[in-house]
Amino acid sequence: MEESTIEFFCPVKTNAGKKALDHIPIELKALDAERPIVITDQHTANKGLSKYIINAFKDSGMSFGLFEGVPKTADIKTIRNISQKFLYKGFDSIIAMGAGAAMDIAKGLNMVVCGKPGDLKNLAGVNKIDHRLMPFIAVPAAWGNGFEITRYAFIENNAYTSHFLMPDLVVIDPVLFKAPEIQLMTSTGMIALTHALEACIHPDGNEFINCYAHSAIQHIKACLPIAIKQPKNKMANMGVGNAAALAGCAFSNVSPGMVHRLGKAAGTMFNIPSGQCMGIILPYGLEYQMQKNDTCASQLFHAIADLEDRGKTQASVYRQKIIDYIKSLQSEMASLKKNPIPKTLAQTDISKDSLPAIAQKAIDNGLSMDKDECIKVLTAAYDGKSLA
Amino acid sequence: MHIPDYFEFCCRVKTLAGHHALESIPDALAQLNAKTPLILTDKGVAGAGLIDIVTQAIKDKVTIGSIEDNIPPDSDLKVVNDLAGVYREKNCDAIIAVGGGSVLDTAKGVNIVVSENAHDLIQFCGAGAIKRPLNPLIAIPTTSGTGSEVTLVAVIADHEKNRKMLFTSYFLLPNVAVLDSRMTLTLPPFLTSSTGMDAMTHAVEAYTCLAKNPLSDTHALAAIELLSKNLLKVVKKPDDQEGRLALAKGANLAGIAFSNSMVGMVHTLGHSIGSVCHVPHGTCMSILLPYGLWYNLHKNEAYTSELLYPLAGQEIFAKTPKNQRAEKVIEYIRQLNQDLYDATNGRHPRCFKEVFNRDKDPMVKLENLPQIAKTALGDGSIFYNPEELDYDDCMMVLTAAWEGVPLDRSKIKKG
Amino acid sequence: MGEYKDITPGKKRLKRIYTAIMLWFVGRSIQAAARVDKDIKKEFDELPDQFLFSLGVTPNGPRMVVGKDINGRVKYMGSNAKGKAINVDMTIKNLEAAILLFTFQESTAISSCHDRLTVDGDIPNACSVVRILDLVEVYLLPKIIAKLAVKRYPEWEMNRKLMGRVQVYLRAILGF
Repeated sequence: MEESTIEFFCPVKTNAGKKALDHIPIELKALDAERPIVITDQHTANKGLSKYIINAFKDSGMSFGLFEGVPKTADIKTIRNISQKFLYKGFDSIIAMGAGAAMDIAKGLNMVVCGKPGDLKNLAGVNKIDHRLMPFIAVPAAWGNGFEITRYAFIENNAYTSHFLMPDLVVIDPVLFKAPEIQLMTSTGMIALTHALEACIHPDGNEFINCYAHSAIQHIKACLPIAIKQPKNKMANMGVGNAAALAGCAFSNVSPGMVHRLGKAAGTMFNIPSGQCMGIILPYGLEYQMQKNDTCASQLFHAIADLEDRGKTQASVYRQKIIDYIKSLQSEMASLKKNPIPKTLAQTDISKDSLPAIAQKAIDNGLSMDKDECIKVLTAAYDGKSLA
Repeated sequence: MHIPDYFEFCCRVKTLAGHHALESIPDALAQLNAKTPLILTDKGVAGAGLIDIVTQAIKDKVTIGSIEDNIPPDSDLKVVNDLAGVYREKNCDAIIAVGGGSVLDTAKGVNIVVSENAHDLIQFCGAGAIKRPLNPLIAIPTTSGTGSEVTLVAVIADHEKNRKMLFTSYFLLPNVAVLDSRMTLTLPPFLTSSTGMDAMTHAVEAYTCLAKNPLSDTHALAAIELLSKNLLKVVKKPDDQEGRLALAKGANLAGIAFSNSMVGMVHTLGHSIGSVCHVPHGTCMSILLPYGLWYNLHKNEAYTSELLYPLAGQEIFAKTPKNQRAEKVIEYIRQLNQDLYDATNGRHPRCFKEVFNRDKDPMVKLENLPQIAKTALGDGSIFYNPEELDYDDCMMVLTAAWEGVPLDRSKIKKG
Repeated sequence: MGEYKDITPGKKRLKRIYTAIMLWFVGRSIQAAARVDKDIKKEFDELPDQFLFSLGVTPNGPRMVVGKDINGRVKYMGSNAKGKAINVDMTIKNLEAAILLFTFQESTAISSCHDRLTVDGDIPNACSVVRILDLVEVYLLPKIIAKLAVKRYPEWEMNRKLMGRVQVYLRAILGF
């Protein structure tokens, strides 16, 4: 009975729904802060979303600094630039609005202003930070990968891992999801689904992680199809945003799974949103894992099916039902009139003879799987045919 | 799935769970930059030998500042101040609280005093008065369970000035909750059953009352499944280690659920019976749970019926027609109370007229009910109950729960 | 590259004014209803002497104070809570939440479930205050809206509701 001790940690508070932004001032007060710097990326600024955060602070008695338009990838120069402003103006908290780069820059900024600029190089790696940083609020406003919630930051080819990088609060407000961007939204949705499902069958998984993973999947089930059919439906879009945040919490507690790694490798190599790749590979990757491990099927079915289905489905059909569900999502995304989402790798720019290279890249980045097995899964995803 | 227009969810407590989870404490302390903990507990826990197990697991790697076991069943301001003095004297830099609700509350109070260097605790009363992280606090629950290792509330009684101080802040949450099966292995059957039903009530009310949200829902369902599968089993076979760990996890998940979505009338009435007649909290919860579900059925039948799945399992859920599931849930819980009554030889009561104290005197008499009903009207949890409750409604429910008879649903005034 | 600006967001004047008017009206209505309705009078009788209740928006938003004066009469005590011994302090976390409340998009119960309100003070007294607010809403609002605002719409005789409503409105506006 030598079971190892399970561990779960999610220090992020989630505020999601109508008027969530307007709660930010009082949340800052509760974190003993009242002068934030707000950082947004160019995409978010271009969509005119900055006005919403300004509105949220009206009547709060607080003023703040706004740095609009950080570059598309996080770089040390921008961080240093902003940190000088931060220290000069005496800010006491950081709010990052947008996705990806804005979040990584905010995390980098947080490390720098709590120490010395040179620190950034020294803190790269795992668990190098040993004290709490400034209060940090993440406001996802664009379609990203849910990584803002996680303990990771990626700055100029360096990876930083520490739970002190996780935001104190994530704010998801439907008003920020008004401009329909279906390609990016579906990519985010599929990243969320991948992270959540892989967390459910991870060897380090547990009941606590499942609470976040299951909720993420339920949000996808309820909201992704609606968001695809009604791109302007703010609440549906917000539901997908919720899913990304919740899946990020689950993901933060396990190491990345197979579909994540393969999808990321493919996406990086061919400049395709990695969520799209993950979405394509997902049913095949899961099929592979269910073949290798019997218990996966019931864990996945438990996560995907609602209570009625769970009640009346026999265990022998779990596998097929899981794969069918994901493929049905793929079909919905593929039936979009404008820019249909590819269902197989063949429908993307990826060529069949590059599959071994993708497999190799994933293995180099930490996937512990036999290369031939990887290629088997990728080939299935390429052809759209079930694994033998 | 119910997605409210707006919700907030937070559980900043790190959970460590296992049969040897205690051994992970030194590392957990090191990560919090602490190495001299003050161990707080009460005489019951110490007497059961649990503190020895804790110290055995950690003494080689940390310096235990002191072990204090004089915490009373009702947290007290004077004790809080005295213990803070011990903390400072022994140069402690962390607190390990081993026990149930009152030990945790006291530990949270001590933590406020030593972290904020407070001379008067009253200035930190109320919501949002504590704005910074406090010193490290590790919680080790010894029942299954109140869930107080994950609540952001502490209640400290000031017996001198005859008032109760309520503290609410996310910073009161312990840094780590350690769920180790050894801590509840020797918990007697009747305490296991009542604390287990306390946890069950937390999860059920979190799922069926007004402030429910998607995350508290998944926590509640997971909790109910663990509790339902293991409670009776463990009451019948107390040394079932796997079962004990499952109950501890279930109680923890239930605690996370209700601290994020509040509770309803079962707690409203239960708190009042506790304060008027001094009946233990878990006992009140187990008896009142079916009544709460009956009373609210016309408002939240859909949610209640979903509980049949984690409670009774896949087969029974599938076999029961949709419109009968909610009733079946109530029947299942009443049966669970009956089974626990049988398994504890009558020590787990099924109704209030069966609640006796150590001298075999009944603790709740019919003439107490009016005062209980009146007190219930002043309990904050009444807001989160799906249906309105006035004095007459409280009396009706209390009378039925006293007798142990089903609630006459035709008498419920529907809103 | 990015661009930096200092931002000092102003005030939401119209929403402030609307909320202030609604709070004034609710305060005056509580004063009026306490004279018209026996249940509300009973709730107030059981509250401590010189009990004061404040409802307002943080941090410096519109506010109202209502309570019992030294003679036990229920009165609207103005829009300023400073220097007064408030027994129950209900705070709405921001102006937008106040607008949701006062345009009846969220009832008091739903608003607190949505974490938009905090209540400080003696909890049993706070429960009385919420019951009083519910009853006042039944007087002020037509059934179709009041049913959304309260959990259980009371079954009153036509007389009590209609006559009471007229009296509450009159007294609230005229202040007697």
